[in-house]
Amino acid sequence: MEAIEYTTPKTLAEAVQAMADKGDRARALAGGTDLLVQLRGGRRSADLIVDVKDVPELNQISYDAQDGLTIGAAAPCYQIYQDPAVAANYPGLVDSASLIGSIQIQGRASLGGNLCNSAPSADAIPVMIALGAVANIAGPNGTRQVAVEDFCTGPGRNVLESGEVLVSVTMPAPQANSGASYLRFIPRNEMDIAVAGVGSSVVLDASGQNFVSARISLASVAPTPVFCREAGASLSGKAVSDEAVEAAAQLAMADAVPINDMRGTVRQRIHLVGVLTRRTLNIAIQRARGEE
Amino acid sequence: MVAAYSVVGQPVVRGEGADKVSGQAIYTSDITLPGMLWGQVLRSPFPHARIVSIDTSRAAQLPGVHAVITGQDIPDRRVGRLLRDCPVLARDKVLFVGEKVAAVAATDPDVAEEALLLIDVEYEELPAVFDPLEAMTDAAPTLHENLASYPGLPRPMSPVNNVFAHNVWDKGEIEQGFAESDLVFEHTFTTQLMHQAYLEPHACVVDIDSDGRVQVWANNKGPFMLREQLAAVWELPQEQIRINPCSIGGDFGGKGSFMDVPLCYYLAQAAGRPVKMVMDYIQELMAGNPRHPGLITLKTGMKADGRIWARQARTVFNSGAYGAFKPRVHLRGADHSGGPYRIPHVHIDSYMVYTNNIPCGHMRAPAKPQVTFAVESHMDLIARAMGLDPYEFRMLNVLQDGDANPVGEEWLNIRAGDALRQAAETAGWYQPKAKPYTGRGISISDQPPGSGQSAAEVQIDADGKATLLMSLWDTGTGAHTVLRQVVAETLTLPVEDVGVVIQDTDAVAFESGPGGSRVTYTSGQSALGAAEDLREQLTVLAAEYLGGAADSVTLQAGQFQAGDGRAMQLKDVAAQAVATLGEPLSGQKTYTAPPSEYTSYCAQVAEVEVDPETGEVTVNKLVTAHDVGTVLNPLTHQGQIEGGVIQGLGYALMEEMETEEGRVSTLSLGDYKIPTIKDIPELVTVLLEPAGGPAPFASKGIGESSNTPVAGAIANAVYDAIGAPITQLPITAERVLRAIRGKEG
Ligand SMILES: Cc1cc2nc3c(=O)[nH]c(=O)nc-3n(C[C@H](O)[C@H](O)[C@H](O)COP(=O)(O)OP(=O)(O)OC[C@H]3O[C@@H](n4cnc5c(N)ncnc54)[C@H](O)[C@@H]3O)c2cc1C
Repeated sequence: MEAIEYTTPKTLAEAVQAMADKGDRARALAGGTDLLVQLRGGRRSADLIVDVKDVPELNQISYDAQDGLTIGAAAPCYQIYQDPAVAANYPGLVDSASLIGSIQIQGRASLGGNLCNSAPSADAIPVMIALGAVANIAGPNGTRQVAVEDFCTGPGRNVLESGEVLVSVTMPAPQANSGASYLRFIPRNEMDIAVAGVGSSVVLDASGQNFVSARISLASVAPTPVFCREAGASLSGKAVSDEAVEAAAQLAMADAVPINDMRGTVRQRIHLVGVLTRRTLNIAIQRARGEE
Repeated sequence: MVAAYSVVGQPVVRGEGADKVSGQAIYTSDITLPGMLWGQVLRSPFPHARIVSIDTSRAAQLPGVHAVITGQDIPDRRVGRLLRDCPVLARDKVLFVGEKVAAVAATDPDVAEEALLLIDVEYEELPAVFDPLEAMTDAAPTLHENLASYPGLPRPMSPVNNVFAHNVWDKGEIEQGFAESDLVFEHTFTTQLMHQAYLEPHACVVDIDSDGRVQVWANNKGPFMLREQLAAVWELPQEQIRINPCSIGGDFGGKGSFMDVPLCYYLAQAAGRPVKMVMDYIQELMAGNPRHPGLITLKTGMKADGRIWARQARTVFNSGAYGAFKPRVHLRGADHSGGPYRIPHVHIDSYMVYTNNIPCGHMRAPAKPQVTFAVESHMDLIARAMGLDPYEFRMLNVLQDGDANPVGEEWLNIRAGDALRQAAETAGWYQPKAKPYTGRGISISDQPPGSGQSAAEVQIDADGKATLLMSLWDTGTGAHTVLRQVVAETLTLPVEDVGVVIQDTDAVAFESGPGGSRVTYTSGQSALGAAEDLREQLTVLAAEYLGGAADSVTLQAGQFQAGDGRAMQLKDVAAQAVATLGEPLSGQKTYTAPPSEYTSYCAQVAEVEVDPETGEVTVNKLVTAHDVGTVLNPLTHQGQIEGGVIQGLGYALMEEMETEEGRVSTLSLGDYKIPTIKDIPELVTVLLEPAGGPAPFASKGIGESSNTPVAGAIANAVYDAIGAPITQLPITAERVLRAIRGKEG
């Protein structure tokens, strides 16, 4: 490992400045559960580490019934799932935050790091996509917003330009009769990389018998997280039924373009997308009906 | 009869535990010597290739590099635990991805690493063979052309291509057995490459004194055997080599290996400085000495009434590029291909085969987990085909006291049936299952304590405190604590008053070290013998001090008592003796263990639940029933049982070193999966009433027994749950799903 410079900016402006000064040779550090492993393993290199854990905007979690939930990019998982507002309004997000790594990893790992690391297998991204989350980005040229489904561009690659940092992620306030869920399949019960993962959200009508809308997103079956636009849209206006859920699952399977690797075969992964889409939709429906 | 013990049988916590959790225990990688350099190796990227040329000149010029060596720079000699077939550095050819082709010693690991990048090797790729059956055909390349010249090669040599050991076990008349059978069943099973996954990778330090004495630190559990292997390859007298003790961070059979020690010496010699080599986990997974994959075909002749009449087994073990990492060349556990059953006619062929894969070594009960998975799965396939309950089918055939086992061995006090019955009863074998896709599976195997040689000394000082001196390295099992209990019991001392000092290889003539469930037996007997020797000496002295005859003096609770009621504290006897002698009083024992007359059965029942949509297997509960002797320490005893079960669970469900064209692709402990705490099922342990054993206080070994039957129990439970057998390990979700689909057509 080479010698690396390290800085701890106290404000967002300082963080952006530090990132911009070193350009491509600077890397933001949140929990470090991806970054430090990659640096040590020689899979990434950097001249400057910008530790963003002292920047207030990146570490706050705020909820407002009007504006929704904004989670600072560096807030660790345990703070997210222990937050009462998150627990009450975003159980789907709790699913993801509480299965990343292990208790120890959850003490450090952040949603922002999960998103910026942009792994196809990232467990927090599908549910953010399902919830319609937006990434708030700051850079030398000011701020911008990008829908999370448009954030990742390839394995380990995303829309962040040199000098930019992810400030936070905003999820809209949950609509009435809505619910979301995330499930993944792994060969053991924790500390593993998804063979396939699915995040789903639904909005039902007041009767709880019909879909108003739905969003479905996949992990580990393509070079980036997949937003299954059609699969979600296929449910809008439909009565809640096993057939409708199955049809959406079939559409989600069609969006999966996995590879064969040591974690699983193409066939198994596509099959798992079907199973997990059905299961996450059914959990989301239950949550929307207040049954869980 | 249950003897009343005061220290034996108590849950004494590990003496060495505090040093380990506080970071004070010294492991090999903690050894730092003045002027020490770091060694690194360049490994082959090809599974089979000729080395055309190696240019080390650029590496040698890198500042901080003190030595760069290749196979041409060292004597052309091969090393091995018994079969000496492994070059220290490849000379003309490489036989697996990860084989060592050059080595560097430099001032720090980063420089050494950088120097490796500056070594230019030109290879000419050769046709490679990875499948052992293919390797056994004449069309396959012969990987060791000079096989006949290797010291340690078993004779007669097999005529089969790439086979370096062919072992046969025979009982009865196999042909006749099949002729007399009403039904014949044949199935083939495959098991995977598995790493021991100890925490501490292989490491060593070698220092050559100015007078030529070679000092070695290595995480090798058999230092005396290591010394023999090193003396052979370095062509030095054994006395010139000293192996110094270190704590060993986990063994599971993998730490009997010489690994980098032979090479480290040549680096130290070339650099004129001490050299340290520490493998990282990538290298461990690429070039350690993992458990052999097995291809096991079992053919069984049955009588219509459910009796097993004939068993033919063919076990083929893919040994990889070298056979050097096995202390016996073959894998003895293949003799368990009959299981613990009454079978009159048995024939077992076991083949060790060279391929262009990672060379395999020993792991916890070598070959037994492989063949037991096969045997116990085969049992259920037969039972179900014949409409028999798997448990009752086993009870009908299991060995009874007085029977000879399938390879003709006779054991005292066979309790295989008891173990099965207790496992089945505890698990509620006949209880209805809660829901569909749940299943129960049963499995059994046995493990006798291994024999060996051990030397011990027990000293007592003026303060009445005893010290056990042995050359038995600590591999993390808690053995030292158990041995202290044995000494304390014998001298009627509190266990805190018995310490352990671990000695180097100069101190005693030979110690076999841990392995084959032998420590409690072999080292236990030497510790006991040394303590008894000391007690006798103390008794004679006590009699003298008390003015009575020695045979009238007894030792109880730290006090010597004469027939006339006079008494003297043991520590006062010790004080007076030490004052007179001018040095501690010492008892000694060298013990050569005869083969144990006892074995130890372990029967298990697993309860699983299968997700029919994903194929995921969840083990809900595992019952493990053990035919034990006296339990010397319930904590360390249970530790071995639990660790063995968990390792067995990993073997059954998830652990696999996957390879592509000989290249291991699971090169981290993220990709090579061992169970985590969330994978551990409820475990119910049943210990049968202690009934004798060859180790001190009628105890037995426990190190390997719980690990062997697990995969069979889980596989049979999955079979029960889904109605289709799984014949390949590990039992991944994908395989289970395929089996469900196959059944549904
Ligand atoms: C043992 C272990 C188990 C794991 N298990 C899982 C798992 O189950 N599921 C899963 O999805 N992941 C898992 N991971 C990966 C990792 O923990 C997660 O991706 C985590 O969310 C990363 O967050 P972090 O805060 O640690 O990110 P860091 O490592 O700090 O950063 C990750 C990347 O994002 C960049 N980055 C971070 N913050 C910003 C920012 N504000 N602006 C711009 N760039 C930024 C960094 O430069 C780096 O490239 C595991 C990792 C380990 C070590």
